[in-house]
Amino acid sequence: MPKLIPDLVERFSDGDASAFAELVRRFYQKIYYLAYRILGNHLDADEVVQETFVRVYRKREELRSVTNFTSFLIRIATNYAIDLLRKQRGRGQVSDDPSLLPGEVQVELARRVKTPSDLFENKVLMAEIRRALNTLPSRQRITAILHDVEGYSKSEVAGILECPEATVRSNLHIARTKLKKILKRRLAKRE
Amino acid sequence: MTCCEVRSLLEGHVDDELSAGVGRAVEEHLALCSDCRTDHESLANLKKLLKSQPRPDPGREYWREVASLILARTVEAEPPARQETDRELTYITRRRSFFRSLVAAAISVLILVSALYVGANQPPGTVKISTSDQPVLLTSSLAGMVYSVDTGIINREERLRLARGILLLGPPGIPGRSSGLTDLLAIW
Repeated sequence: MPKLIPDLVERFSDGDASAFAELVRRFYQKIYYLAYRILGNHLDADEVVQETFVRVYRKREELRSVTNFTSFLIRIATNYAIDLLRKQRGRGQVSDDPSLLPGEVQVELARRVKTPSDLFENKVLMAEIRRALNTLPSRQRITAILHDVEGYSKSEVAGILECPEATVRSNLHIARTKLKKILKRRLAKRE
Repeated sequence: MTCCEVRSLLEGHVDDELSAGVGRAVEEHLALCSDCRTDHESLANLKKLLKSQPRPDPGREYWREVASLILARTVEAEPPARQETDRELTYITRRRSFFRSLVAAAISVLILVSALYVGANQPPGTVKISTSDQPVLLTSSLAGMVYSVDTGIINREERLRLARGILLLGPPGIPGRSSGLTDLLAIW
């Protein structure tokens, strides 16, 4: 029977390394997807995944007072992603050109692409959405990604970003208004 | 419901947060108002578009490797027992450093107090320079200077007064302090 997250967290905070390994296994994909959406490239997303778990491991003694481990984990990942976003702005956007990805990742991507037009359409759509999201200030961008892309509720987003739910609503409203303007053409196509 | 009211509820409707009654009222309005319907569709389409992005998947190899990398950077790199030792070492080092500072401060204070004590209880070097019966205290180091020919510290008159015992050279640090004749007469 699979262990519940609170049980794993308790065992991990008591020093059980196997519980930590299980938590990594359960959450690393979630962190990767979120980091990739925020940062838009594999290398930074990978850094967020690794650094998040390293930080959680270092803070294991604090975990006893943590009521929601998922929010705690996503908060660490989000804060680290925000730091990387600032660095990205300093050094310029990292390209997500598939040829810059590790060899095995390229193979995997090539294996799952059905047709060149699928690849093209996906890339164009993703690039367009990413460009639109990139125009938003980091808090609005992350709020929109957490809520509209990753599907977290407003109260969960408020917990992750440690802000009132009203702030989440306001940031989400502004982000959506801006995105509607930027993606007008794409939205019209869908209608 | 007015258009203004409906527009303020559109996001709640798209996010499925409205009560059944309010949701129905919004839908009834949308069925009749094309402007609000356009806004609603635009919002709903945006949400669908954002949600429809393909999930980035770097592949099975990456998933396998990243878990190992994380464990290598955490559990394997820093076993709990070792971490406890490091913590203790840090504590011990800090404690030692504190005691070292404390001992250094105590030694400094002790040296200062000893110097003051010894200085206060040391008899000043005295030389009898008066021709009268009353001694005049003079530090031994100053005595040589006072009696040397080339000294410019005291002049002939002062030397005379010194000889007569009406000039007192005080304790170390206060050379050339003179005393009045009346005081000296009182001593005599």
